[in-house]
Amino acid sequence: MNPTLRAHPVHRRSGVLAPLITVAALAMLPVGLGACSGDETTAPTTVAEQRLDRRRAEVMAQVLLRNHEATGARFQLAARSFDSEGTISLSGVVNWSDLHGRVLVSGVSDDLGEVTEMAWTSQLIGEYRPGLEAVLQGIGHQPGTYLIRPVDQSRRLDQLVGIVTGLASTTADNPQLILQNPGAAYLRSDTLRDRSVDVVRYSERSIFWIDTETGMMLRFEGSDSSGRFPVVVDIIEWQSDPVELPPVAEVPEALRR
Amino acid sequence: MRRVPAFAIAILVTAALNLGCGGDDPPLTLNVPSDHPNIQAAVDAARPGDLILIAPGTYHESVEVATERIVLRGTDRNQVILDGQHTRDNGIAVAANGVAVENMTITGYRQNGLLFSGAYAAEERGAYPGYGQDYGAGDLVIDGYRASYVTAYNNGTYGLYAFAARNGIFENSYASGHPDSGFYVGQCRPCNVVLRNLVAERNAIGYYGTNASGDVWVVESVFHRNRLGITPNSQDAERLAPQSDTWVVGNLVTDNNEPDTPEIPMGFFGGGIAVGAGTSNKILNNRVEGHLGAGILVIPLDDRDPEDNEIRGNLLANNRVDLVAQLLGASPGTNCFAANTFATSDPANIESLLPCGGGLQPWQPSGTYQPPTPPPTADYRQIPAPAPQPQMPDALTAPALPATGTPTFPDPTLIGVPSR
Repeated sequence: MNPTLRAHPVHRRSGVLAPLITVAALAMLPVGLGACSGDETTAPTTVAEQRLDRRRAEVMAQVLLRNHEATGARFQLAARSFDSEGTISLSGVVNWSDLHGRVLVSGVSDDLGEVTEMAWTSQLIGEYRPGLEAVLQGIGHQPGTYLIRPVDQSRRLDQLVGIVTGLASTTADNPQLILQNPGAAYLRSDTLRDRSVDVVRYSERSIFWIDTETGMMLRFEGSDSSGRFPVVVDIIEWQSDPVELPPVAEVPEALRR
Repeated sequence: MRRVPAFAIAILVTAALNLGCGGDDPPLTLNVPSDHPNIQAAVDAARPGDLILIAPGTYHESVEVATERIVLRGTDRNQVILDGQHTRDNGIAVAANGVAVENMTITGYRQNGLLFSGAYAAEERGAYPGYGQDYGAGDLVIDGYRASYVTAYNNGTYGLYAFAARNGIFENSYASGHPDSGFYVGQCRPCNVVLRNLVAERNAIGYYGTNASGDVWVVESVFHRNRLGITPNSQDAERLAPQSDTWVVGNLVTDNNEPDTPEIPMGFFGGGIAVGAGTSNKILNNRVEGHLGAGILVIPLDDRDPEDNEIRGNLLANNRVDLVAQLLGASPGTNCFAANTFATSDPANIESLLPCGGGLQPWQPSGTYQPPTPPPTADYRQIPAPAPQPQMPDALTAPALPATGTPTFPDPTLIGVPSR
């Protein structure tokens, strides 16, 4: 019997913005990867960086909670790869209530291997490699079967998944503490996909583009401490549907890296 | 008789009018909703010293207070209800000195029920921490605050919260259903705050005092059926660590193992009083009973050891372990235990190993105590509403009493172990 991604326990993330930074530190993160497709920004209406005020701190404190309350989203992610000068793009869906997700993978990077699609739960990563399709069908698996393996934070793709799933929290952050974060700042007002946004920095390595009308996060930018591995996550659409997970198979020993 | 020029008369009249506007007028009572349609409108119209008297009703608003020394009072604690409908952030956010909030219920806010914020007050004054400065010290504080006869339940973070605030009182108030804590005093030195006659139940933590130092008094209150009762503590997530000088005296701390409570991410469960890396705290004459973990714990937090804490005269019963001391370092430090009534401790013979008044015995770090596994969290919005709470006496007629000056601190020698 094929194992299923659904059968594995879910660990609900309960952190706030600070834990997000931990995830970011593990992985990498952002600034300046110009972007995800469909991105349309206008010239910023203000440019000078300013001290974060309480209004914006209160909005920022809720941003990951609002993601959690939205349940899930369709998103696009663009990132610098870890072991090369290449780039990685993920396009798909995430559900923050059960931490499931599924994406198409593209880019130019040694980190990709032959992976063209991924799905995940909180504990397992599933990968689809077209080159193995015939092999898997030959041993009885149905077409489109993903190979599953435990989450491995040393892999760039898994780190990127960790960032996406970390963009939600069951609790709000504390605006009082955000106000005194080193690096917290209001960067500018801008427009993203026809929405008016405030671009605010939580810390030196995490920037949120927040819809000024709804308080929802439309974009997250992060980077590691070196700034060499930026990531940009664009929220394209909110959705609460469960993620449709693919058929899966254990990774045959012969295929393990 | 010499004539006074007309222009001179005009100047005198103008001066008199200016005097009249300068704050010498007697305090006014602003009624809501008869004078002002909502609480915020009354707050905006108030001058220092005024009383805002709020009639029974449910008020769907988030009130921000930037005027010093005003008093907001409900005429009926259980029928004057601020309801955030889980869409608004704070019930009442105070960013000014000397404000008092009395006799009302605050529920359903995504952040806090009642917030006194020194950071917000500093912003109102255009003051910000410079290099080496922190909110909560020096002038970067709210100076003077009070909450009396306030009920807060099912708000998203704290019930009653004082951040970077000095010279305060929380009294005769109730808090339940908060996923962080019912009562919180954080990041202040000196805090000069008295918390007395409070009831905290079904919160993640009853009283949480991170980096709250200097004459913090938690006395004669009830902490019941939370996940953790009381915790003065030091954490690096806030400034002004390490915490010091909290007095926890004469409290009833029972059964803080309630599974139907919201969980705090750090996962505390089953403890009565936990001094987490605090220093120079006095835990005196409390009754601490019925905990699946431990009654009173003196433990490390954030890789920092507790120091100079005195645990004396407490009555402990029906806890899995009554008294616990754990230290990261090889030295026993100067925490001490004396004159407690208890059956079990970790390490055993804790009052001999860590006696008050010197005479420390050779210390073998103990690592045997393990806290219980926390049960899954409950949705804070679904915790049952509390029963009606006692009214403020003479709410309709008592004069406004802004929160000014340093509060009178309790005399710990007059506070005994409470009865159940």
